[in-house]
Amino acid sequence: MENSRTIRIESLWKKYRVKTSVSLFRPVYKEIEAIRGISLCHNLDHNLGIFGKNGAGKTTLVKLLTGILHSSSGEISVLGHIPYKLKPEFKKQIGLFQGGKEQLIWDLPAIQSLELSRYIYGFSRDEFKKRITHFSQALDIGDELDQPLRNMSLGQRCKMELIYSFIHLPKIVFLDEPTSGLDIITRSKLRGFINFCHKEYGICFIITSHNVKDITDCCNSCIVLDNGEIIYQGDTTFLLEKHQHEVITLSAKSNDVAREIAEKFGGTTVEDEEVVFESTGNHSKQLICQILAQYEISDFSIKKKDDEEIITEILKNE
Amino acid sequence: MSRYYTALGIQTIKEAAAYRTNFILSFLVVLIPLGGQLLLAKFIYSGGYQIGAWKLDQLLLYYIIATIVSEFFVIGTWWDIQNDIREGGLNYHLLKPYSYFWHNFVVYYALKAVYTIFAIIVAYLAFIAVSGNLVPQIKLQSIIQFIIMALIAAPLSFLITFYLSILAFYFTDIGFVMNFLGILLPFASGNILPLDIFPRGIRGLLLKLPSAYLVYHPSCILTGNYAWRSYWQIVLEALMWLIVFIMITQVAWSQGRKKYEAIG
Amino acid sequence: MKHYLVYYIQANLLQLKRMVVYNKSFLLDVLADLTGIMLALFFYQILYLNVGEGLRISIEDLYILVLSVKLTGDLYNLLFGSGVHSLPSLIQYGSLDSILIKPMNLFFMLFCSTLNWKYFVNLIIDVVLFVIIFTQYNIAISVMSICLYLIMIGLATMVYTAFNILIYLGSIIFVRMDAFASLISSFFSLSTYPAAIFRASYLKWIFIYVIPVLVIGNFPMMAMKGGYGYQLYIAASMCAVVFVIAAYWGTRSMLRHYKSASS
Repeated sequence: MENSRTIRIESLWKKYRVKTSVSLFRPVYKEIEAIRGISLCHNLDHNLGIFGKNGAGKTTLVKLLTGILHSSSGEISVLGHIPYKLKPEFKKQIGLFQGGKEQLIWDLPAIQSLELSRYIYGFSRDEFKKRITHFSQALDIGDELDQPLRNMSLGQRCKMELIYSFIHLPKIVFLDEPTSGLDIITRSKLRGFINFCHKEYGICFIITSHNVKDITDCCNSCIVLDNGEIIYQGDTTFLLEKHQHEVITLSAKSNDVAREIAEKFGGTTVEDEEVVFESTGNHSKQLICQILAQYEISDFSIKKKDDEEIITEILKNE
Repeated sequence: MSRYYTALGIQTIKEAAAYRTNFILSFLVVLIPLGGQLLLAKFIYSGGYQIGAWKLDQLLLYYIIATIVSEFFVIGTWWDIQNDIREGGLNYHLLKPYSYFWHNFVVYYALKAVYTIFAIIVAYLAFIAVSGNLVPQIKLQSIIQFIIMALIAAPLSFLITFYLSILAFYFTDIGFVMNFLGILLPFASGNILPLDIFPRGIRGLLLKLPSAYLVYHPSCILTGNYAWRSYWQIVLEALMWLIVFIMITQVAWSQGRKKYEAIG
Repeated sequence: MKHYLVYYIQANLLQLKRMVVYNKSFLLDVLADLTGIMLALFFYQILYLNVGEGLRISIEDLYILVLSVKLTGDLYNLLFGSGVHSLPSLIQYGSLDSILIKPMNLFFMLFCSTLNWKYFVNLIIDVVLFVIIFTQYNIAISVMSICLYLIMIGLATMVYTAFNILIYLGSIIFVRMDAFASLISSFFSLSTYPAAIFRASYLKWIFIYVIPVLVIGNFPMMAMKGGYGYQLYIAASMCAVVFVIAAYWGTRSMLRHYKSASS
């Protein structure tokens, strides 16, 4: 039973062969390693975020987990199933949403194509109606449901597609770039919706996104992928805290005092009598108290880096 | 300006040559229906029957020529022009000091020239395979007659294509014109059957339509079916169609431009 | 099973609604198809007026041949066409992903789940044309001959569908070889000719088992005419088995090598 609530990956590899020369008779192939021997164990009680640069292997990993792609070697088990066998019992328990790809019928009112999923996954009409009302309230959707998709804005279409991808209430939903191309307000609404569904229906979301906030807001756990390898795996808050730098800027009375403070406490001087300290963790308060006890300071500021800056730095350093 | 057109033509041919595999294959597509026609004709003649006044060798030659000629003078709507009109690419052309008509004319026939070279080679091989002769029986007189005719048929074919394409000024979706033409033209132009074997009423009509001057008459000329006198009559009729299409294209273009400006 | 049927009906009712939104262009398409079939019938009429018995086959048989080809094509397009034709774009743009994760049979979802209603109208026209020809030429038909004909049309549709799947799979494997695909499909322009014109026996063999041109028109016509013995049905069934297995195998291997296009 424990097996059915986890994702387990054991030294997973995915290699592609890509043609590099266009010769008709002797094509030359190059092997690309999209996923390089990763192992992972994730409990489905928490959402999982996947960070990574373009080409780090995020989407490939999602496609391996959904069973769309075949792995080259290694083992994957999702909900106790081997994904690439694509057993109906497995497929009923997952949902996939790919930002920018549309599945609903363009010319018809959204509600009509949404109802098709009722026949695919087999649940009752009442249940369908209940879920639709529930979802529309959470997503703030009004009578758009009766409009054809072609009359909708990108944000509205995105909401419809999102509903379509998990109206069957699967155990796991994979969201591949769910908020690409959306404005800030729609993005935050979608994040709220994801959290709502997680709490209300116990759906586990696996999210890849270039919008850092999507993951920090919705996922307790995360992994950082770089070049096909996992370089961090664990708690999202821990990752952020671990790399959190606080930048303290002090203004001293004169350049000499500034230099002295810098030497004594390990900071760097910049122009106009300013000293800058970068500190990890929660040592800032202590440091300022110490300095204030010994020197006269005219001004100081503490600036925390936001999540986006931290993740950018992590990805850049690797 | 003529140097621009020459350069444009050469560039188009180079572009086409880059996709030569696709090019050759797409000509072979035409060859298969031709093969069917030739086999059917041979089958009928093998029982001692004859289609109209056509002898077997003549008919085989007619079919081969008609296939090449209809490739060269085929009428259709041309997507380039339609897209220019619909998506506003026309603006860009109108600002250039060349004529939009002649610009397209050069591109159209430069492509067709490459195509025809392939066509002639393949068709010649088909001819040898079917008739067993190495030299087709074409008289010098017929070749001269054909060249004069081609000089009229080429602009006529392009004018009709251009005319149909600029109908995009007036109708948003003229894809169906293409659809219908694709079905009707092989029949009406004499590519499927020589027009003179059609029942009398239909024959009279089809022989006078512009499509006949693009495929049926040129093919008949090359197979040596016309004496000079009847030949000149056909040339005259073709010229009349040419003038008609010059006029209606002029009108459609200038009216369409006004409409286009109103939209754009 | 019932759940598939319900999905099939509901999804295709939606498709029907969708087509009605664009009814104008669909009627023009039907009209174009009708023009095409009338011209094909006209072709044999003109030839018959000129050479009479020279075709060594009766005019009504030729008409049935032409209509059979159209019937096979329309059945294919109605039932499987939209699925098969969208195969290359599914692969190219990676939209196969969303089909792969649906808890339904993949072959059903890929090839049979969408009806192209336009061809339903065509099918009705075909039936009307058949009735006209039967009454015009006083062709006596028995229940038996109709049954045999329908069996043959069924086999022909299977063969034609499987062959088309193979062509589209080929064009996916050889990217930019769409000209190759259209070259192969252009052989089907030969299907309205009587089989007798392919006098070499190797040609007949090729046109049954390699490019099944004869199966989609001549075979049904012969079944309707009767008197060809069981060999005809064995040949058609074998052909169907061979092509369906090949298409099944081809699709399986395509899916195994499917590299989902990245977003």
